[in-house]
Amino acid sequence: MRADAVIVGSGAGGAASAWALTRAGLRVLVLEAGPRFVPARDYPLDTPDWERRPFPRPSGSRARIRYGDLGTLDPGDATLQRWNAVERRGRLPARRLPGRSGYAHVLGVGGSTLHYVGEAHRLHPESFTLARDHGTGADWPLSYADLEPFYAEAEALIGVAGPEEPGARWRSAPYPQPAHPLSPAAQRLALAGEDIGLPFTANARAALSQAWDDRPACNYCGQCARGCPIGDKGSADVTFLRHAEATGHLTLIPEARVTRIEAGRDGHIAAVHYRNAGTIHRQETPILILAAGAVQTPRLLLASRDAHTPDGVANGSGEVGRNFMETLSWHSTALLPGLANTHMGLPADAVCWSENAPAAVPGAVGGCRYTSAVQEVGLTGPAAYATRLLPGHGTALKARLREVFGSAITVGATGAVLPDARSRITLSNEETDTDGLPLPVIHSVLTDNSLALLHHMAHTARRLLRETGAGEPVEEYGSWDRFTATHVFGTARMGADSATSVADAWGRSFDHANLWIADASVFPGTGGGEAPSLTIQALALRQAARIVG
Amino acid sequence: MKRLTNERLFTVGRKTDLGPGHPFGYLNVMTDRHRPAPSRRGTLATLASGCLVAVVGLPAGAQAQEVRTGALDAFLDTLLPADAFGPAASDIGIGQALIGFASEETDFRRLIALGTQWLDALDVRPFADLPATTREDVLRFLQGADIDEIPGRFYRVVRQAAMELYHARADTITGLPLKPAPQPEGYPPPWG
Repeated sequence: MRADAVIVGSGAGGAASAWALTRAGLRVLVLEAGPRFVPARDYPLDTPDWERRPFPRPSGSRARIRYGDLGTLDPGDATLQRWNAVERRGRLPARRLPGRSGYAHVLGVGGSTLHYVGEAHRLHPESFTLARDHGTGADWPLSYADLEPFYAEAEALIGVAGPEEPGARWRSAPYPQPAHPLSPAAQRLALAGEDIGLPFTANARAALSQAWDDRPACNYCGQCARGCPIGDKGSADVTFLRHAEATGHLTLIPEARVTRIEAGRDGHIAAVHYRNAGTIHRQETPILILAAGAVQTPRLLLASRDAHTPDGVANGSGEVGRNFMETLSWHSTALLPGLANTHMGLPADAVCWSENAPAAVPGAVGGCRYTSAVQEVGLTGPAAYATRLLPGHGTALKARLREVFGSAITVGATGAVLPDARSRITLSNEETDTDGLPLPVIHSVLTDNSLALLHHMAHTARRLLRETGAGEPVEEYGSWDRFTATHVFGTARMGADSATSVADAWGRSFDHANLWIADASVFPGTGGGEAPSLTIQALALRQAARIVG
Repeated sequence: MKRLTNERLFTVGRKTDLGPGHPFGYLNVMTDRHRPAPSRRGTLATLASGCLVAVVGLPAGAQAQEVRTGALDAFLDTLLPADAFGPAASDIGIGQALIGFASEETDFRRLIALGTQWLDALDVRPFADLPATTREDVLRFLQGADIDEIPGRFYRVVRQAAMELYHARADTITGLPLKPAPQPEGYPPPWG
């Protein structure tokens, strides 16, 4: 087929690009490596065995990933070791290991927005100038003001529900939907936070608080991460992609795995090669937009080396794959006698931004934020309580479950990560996928700054829990001893200098004028723990506006 | 073999003839031959809610053996007995479900086989014929047992799987502020 633009990946960035370009009349081909999910079929939350059903993993919906250097563990940091009341603390390994979900991602139409909780955050304005203001990390080649109109545009299409007070993130328009009511756990946490100078507010959420755009309002089942069967969650499939397909200008091919980017002699990208239904196709395109995420995008660029691009496509700077940044996370849970029904309500419905600015945490740069996270960590059903929070057995266990179910309260903390030379994506020398492409290898090491921030996040989470009146924690886990990251960044970063960056301020490759990148690969920094999907979408919309002129 | 008593249950691990550090060292399944090799210990499954464990990491030398279904059901019914809140595990086929799942997971089946054999070898009587209080004492001991030994791992893995399977039934949530499933109604406010 002839296409005006080809987009690789249909997650947050690819979907937003597809919508913006098709709306402008361009014929767009989206190549999605994973399958198309059918919410009513794939997210069955209406059967009693719902708790045994995490987000589905149909064939081809997860990429094979390998892990390299994840760092060593100093026993002096062991207060950050994961544990819970049932499993207790295990032996401390010498090295940090990948967690069960590792790099938590989805290959599928809609990408990882299919299983995201749906926080719709704007970055803190001060996060854009980390290097200038703090002498570390990298600056963005654009400002919050440059991005603000596109944040607003993305929020409008998704139907983001948020609070009236903008806080540090000034707004050109109110949130399109009113904020969701705070769940029982969030209300209690908000009271505690107020008492110690850490105020919580309603979180900005890509979940409808009112029916809109042929989508129903959220009914607060609390299971966003298992997939939303009713469509109120603003995942990319029911928002950007649905509207892009409605234009008639979009062709979306699921299970189309790109195997090579072909650079021409003139420096332009000539074509992409992809496999679909067992056949290799060569698709020429005047515009190529990569939106495969901060692991697969650099993998594809590095693996596409040839005589014209011996170090990989778009890698004149040598920065492709470098500057990998994960997200720091911490969760502390306790039981609060008298509190009820904390399994009800919207996950991550309340957030505290007090320590989100880059300099807000003493002794660490980058910032963090706190949420009410009891639903997000899956403490919404009896099996979760019985397998994680309540040891023992017999009638005593069953009685105890009735006594405490619905009283768990969790503080989640998410923090910044700074680039480090050891943290990067490389290609495996030993293993390839079924298409012959080398597997990506994730190297991600916690720096002294990360450890300081992580200790602070854990300390504050415990302090918040104590302030609620809850007992001692019954479960804690975080980034220290297990690499588990939903949000990853930086591996084809944008910047003002082509010597140290892969793309310019529009996400356009410095090396190939018709190659654009529209995912979190381009982030020079992580922000202070904000969820990145809205920023990815805003960047993609801004980029699309540039493309169409 | 001596009859199992509470006193024996909790003193046996300290007997020198049973092997230092082996809480039930007199059983074949607890010999060094069956210990997970150090290099395998790191493969121990990360037990987290949401899915059944897929990797158990048993020693390569362990032999698959027949699951003692009587011991398994008795173990499960001690974990999850019948009471006013719901049926016993065996009443709703949790043991059969576990064995069904284990048929697809060789290591898991071996763990169940070795674990149930261990339970039946505790006394001249099968585990299922032990007094209820003794079975509870056994489980209490297992709760604190070494995860790198067969009994401790059996307890942890089977408990995890049984809790998930048991609570996947609508007739087990009596007394909890839950609907049979989160959808289609959800939990709209008020939540007080």
